[in-house]
Amino acid sequence: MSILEIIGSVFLLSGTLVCIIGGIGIVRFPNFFARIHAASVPDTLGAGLCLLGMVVLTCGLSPEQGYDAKLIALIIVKLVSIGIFIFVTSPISGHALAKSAYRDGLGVEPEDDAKSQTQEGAS
Amino acid sequence: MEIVYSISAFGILFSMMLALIRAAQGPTVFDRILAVNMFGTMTVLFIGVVGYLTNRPDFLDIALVYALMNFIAIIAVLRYRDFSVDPAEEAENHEHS
Amino acid sequence: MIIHGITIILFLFLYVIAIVIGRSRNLFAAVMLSGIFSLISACLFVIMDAVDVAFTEAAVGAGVSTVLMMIVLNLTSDRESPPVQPKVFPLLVALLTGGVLIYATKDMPAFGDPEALIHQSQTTNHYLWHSFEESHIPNVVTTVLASYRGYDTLGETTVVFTAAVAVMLLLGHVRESETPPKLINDPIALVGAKMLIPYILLFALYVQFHGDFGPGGGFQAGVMFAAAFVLHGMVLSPKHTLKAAPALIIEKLVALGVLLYAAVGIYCLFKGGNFLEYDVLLSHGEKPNPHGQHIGILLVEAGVGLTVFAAMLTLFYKFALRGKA
Repeated sequence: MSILEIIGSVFLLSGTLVCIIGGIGIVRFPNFFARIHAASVPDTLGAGLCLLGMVVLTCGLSPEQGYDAKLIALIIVKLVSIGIFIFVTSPISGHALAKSAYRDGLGVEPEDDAKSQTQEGAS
Repeated sequence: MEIVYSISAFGILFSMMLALIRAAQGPTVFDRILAVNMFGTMTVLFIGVVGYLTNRPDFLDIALVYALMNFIAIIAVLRYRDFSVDPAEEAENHEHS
Repeated sequence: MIIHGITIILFLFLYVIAIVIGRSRNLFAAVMLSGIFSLISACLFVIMDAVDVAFTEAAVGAGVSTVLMMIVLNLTSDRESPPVQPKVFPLLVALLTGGVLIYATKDMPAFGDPEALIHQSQTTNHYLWHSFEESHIPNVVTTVLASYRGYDTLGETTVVFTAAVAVMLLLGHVRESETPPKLINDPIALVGAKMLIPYILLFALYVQFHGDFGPGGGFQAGVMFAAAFVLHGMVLSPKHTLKAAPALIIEKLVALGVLLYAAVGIYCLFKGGNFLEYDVLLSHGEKPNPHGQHIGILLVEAGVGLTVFAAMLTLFYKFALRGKA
């Protein structure tokens, strides 16, 4: 394994670990606003680390595997734009979600979930 | 190298499963939207990793589409589901229509 | 081996989410969950190497169809009325159909089986081995879609056109007096959308014209192009979008796309070829020129993209500008 592959793998695997941690948070946290915090972790740090790892790994691809410099550049541009789009969209959707949940009257206590007007089963 | 991609793919699948649990459990609608949003990000990463695993990184086009399209769905949810409708306003809307 | 494992896990996810959707009485939740269903199926398409299908699923399932469903739920109630009595007969029918289908899979070839009938057929082999020398286009899917099977695609485009016309006839003209749904007027979403819309349009154009070389083509690009306008309508209001893209022009574009497609075919007839035989497009005299395939496919894909874009946007207008019943 070359040095680029090792660095890339470390980034990719730590990004995966962050995604799993965020997933555990989204299941185990007690109320909605805690869960939205947990969900933002893989959206930003997890995705960022994974994409960074993929960029480094792409740099390590060699012409013998059928990747010339142009193709590698194209792949890196795509990865970077995916990163930018996720970094723009994910906080905005998180914000909009939190805003409408707050206006709906969701609170920070676990039992507040039951008070939500949009609680399924109610009404 | 393949082992790294495989571990990563299965890790992301595991975290998709956790998001799926939250989407199935609820309890509020917002939790489901949150889970869908996170599932979307996981899908983008998963398609990217699978592209490397199968040695075809041109799959990234699809991941790019998802990164763009997920946003539209979430904004539509919040645009068309104004959850806090004032009773007075609702009555006014009814009069109009 | 690893790919098999991933496929099995994804199918399990698909079962789980389908059962959850079936059990949900809240239609709004069901729409959100069907978004997850679409994401999982796109992952499966990617795993099975059907990249163009995954692309379509990505563009339609994740973005536009969720939006349209949401708009429709805004017009109706989001709660499914409880069933009056337990229905045994539909359950029996469902079980029977499912059983027959599972029984039928016994005759299906295994996934990726080289001995399968479809891989042995002369037509498939011709497409796979000779498409490049006949059209000089690397993506065989595009060649099959727009050139070898040009008739079918013309039919599909006509179907999209017909669907748009049917919606126009059923829902009538846009009535200006309807009460629009409440705005959220969120400045942050507005700024984000302003940043994204140009890139969505740009990427749609890339998908449209890069379809010869990579995954993509007219269908996907049309949906993405429409999605950019839908996003504009989401963050401002559908009326603002109506100013940017007037319904009258969009309605004409639905027909224009099909016309462009058919006109290419008829032009081929005038040049002395068969209907949609692009080889003759650039030829002078007797000898067919294979580079005509490029021009033909480009024009035909443009027609498809135009029709799909305009049809999607028409659907959006007709539903979004309709007041609550």
